Amino acid sequence: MPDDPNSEFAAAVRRAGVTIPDDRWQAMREAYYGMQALLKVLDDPLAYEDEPAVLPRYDMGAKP
Amino acid sequence: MSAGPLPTLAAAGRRIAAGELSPVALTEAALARAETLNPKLHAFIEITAERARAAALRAEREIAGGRRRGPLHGIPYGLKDIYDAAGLRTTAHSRLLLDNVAAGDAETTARLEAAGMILIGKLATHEFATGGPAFDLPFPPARNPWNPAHFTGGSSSGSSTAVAAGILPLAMGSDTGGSIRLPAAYCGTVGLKPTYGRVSRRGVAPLCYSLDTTGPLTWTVEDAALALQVLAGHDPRDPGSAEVPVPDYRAWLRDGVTGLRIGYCRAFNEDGEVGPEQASALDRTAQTLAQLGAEVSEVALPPNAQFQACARTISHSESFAIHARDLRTRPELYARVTRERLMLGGFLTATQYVQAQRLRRILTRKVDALFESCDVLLTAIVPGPAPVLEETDDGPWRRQQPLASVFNVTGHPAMAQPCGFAESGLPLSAQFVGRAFDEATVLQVGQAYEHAAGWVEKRPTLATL
Repeated sequence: MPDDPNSEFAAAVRRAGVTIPDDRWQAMREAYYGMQALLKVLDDPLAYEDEPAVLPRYDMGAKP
Repeated sequence: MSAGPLPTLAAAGRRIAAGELSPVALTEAALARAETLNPKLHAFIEITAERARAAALRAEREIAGGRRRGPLHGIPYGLKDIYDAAGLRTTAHSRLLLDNVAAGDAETTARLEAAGMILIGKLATHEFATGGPAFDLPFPPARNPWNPAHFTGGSSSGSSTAVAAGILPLAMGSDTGGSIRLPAAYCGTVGLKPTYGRVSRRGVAPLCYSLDTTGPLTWTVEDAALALQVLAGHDPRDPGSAEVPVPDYRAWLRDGVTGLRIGYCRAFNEDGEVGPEQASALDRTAQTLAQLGAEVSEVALPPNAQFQACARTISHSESFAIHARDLRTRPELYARVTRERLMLGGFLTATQYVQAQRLRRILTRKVDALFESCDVLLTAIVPGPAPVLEETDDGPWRRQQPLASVFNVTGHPAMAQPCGFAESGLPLSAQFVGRAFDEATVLQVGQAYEHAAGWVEKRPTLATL
């Protein structure tokens, strides 16, 4: 692990339970931070009534 | 049969009905073209010649006996190798599934078989319908028939190659973030992503349950309508399948666009860094539609960054959930690019996934609202013509913000089709988008444009192969 083991990325890798070879560590690290930068928009406030798109529908598929 | 490209579904169907063309001759022509071109184009992972010949003979006898099943009876097709076909391997272009023989048909396969179509083979894909063109897999990546040095797009790469090269008039693809429409755009074919839930996904290897769609790649819009007619419909064994009536997709196909309202998403295209050749081609597409009688006005989609945050969070999270065990225990079996892109999903949090699904509902509502003043949207699907294969982004994180996944997020039907050619001779493409479950109007606009523009007449010469 060519990185500070306490870094956010190293922790994310441990949590995911995957192994990244040393020669791909830097590329994956950059990808991780690039992805997190793109996802900042998900931190924008949402209203309580903004429910997720994927919700169970128990009226579907109930017919024999 | 001539040695040229296979006729379209519509043309072949008419000739078979008239007794001018035999399914056996048509199948032999497809097999011959596949055998000749596949060593150069790598469209097929497996050519199922014996099975195809037996099916063609059966079709010929049925038709001769007055038992023609419909307009697709006796016509060849192909399956992206994530679709199950009983007794054949479904490899997903991966080492992990090299010995995976399907016990039954995917619902879509079953519908095409019931329509009397002839399976010619299983088609190349990006591994597990994600990743990118990879050279460290058991099968080579498919090549673009317009210029094999250029990217086919993906992930339904073999499907677009086979249709563009005139080997097949219909190939099935899947679309989670553009995987039907991107290769259609780069290879100059029609690619239809139906509304989420319109066509069954059962028996198709999943990438992302809440974004995956299945649909056809064809040479013409009419052929897309013919294929969708067979494919569309509720499947009670697919939890995402919708119970929505299926119209006659050809009923309005030739009604033109007079009075239809087209919302041109010019600003969205500029946001997506669409290049000058592609932008001009889209402007001309809008002008053509206006000349045909459509009311064209500019409309604004929400920012692409919001769609991308949604699409990537949902897609990466769900695909990691599907592949987590293999990524942890035998990662070396994946191509590097697939492995790294799939692994990114393991770094996301549950909170991010839920927030993305909440934003997804908001974005869907906003796009639905655009359809109060428009019947169909016109947008870019790619920034320009196919890039050189060696310059294709193979890093774990795609640098370019794709335009295609917008309508996977919202679920609306979207169709890519040719809208011109770049100076390099490579195809350019437009995307038409409709209201949920209104594929019929998308097809109607696409048909009118295709007929007026005439790009459909130009085939790749295959001279450089």
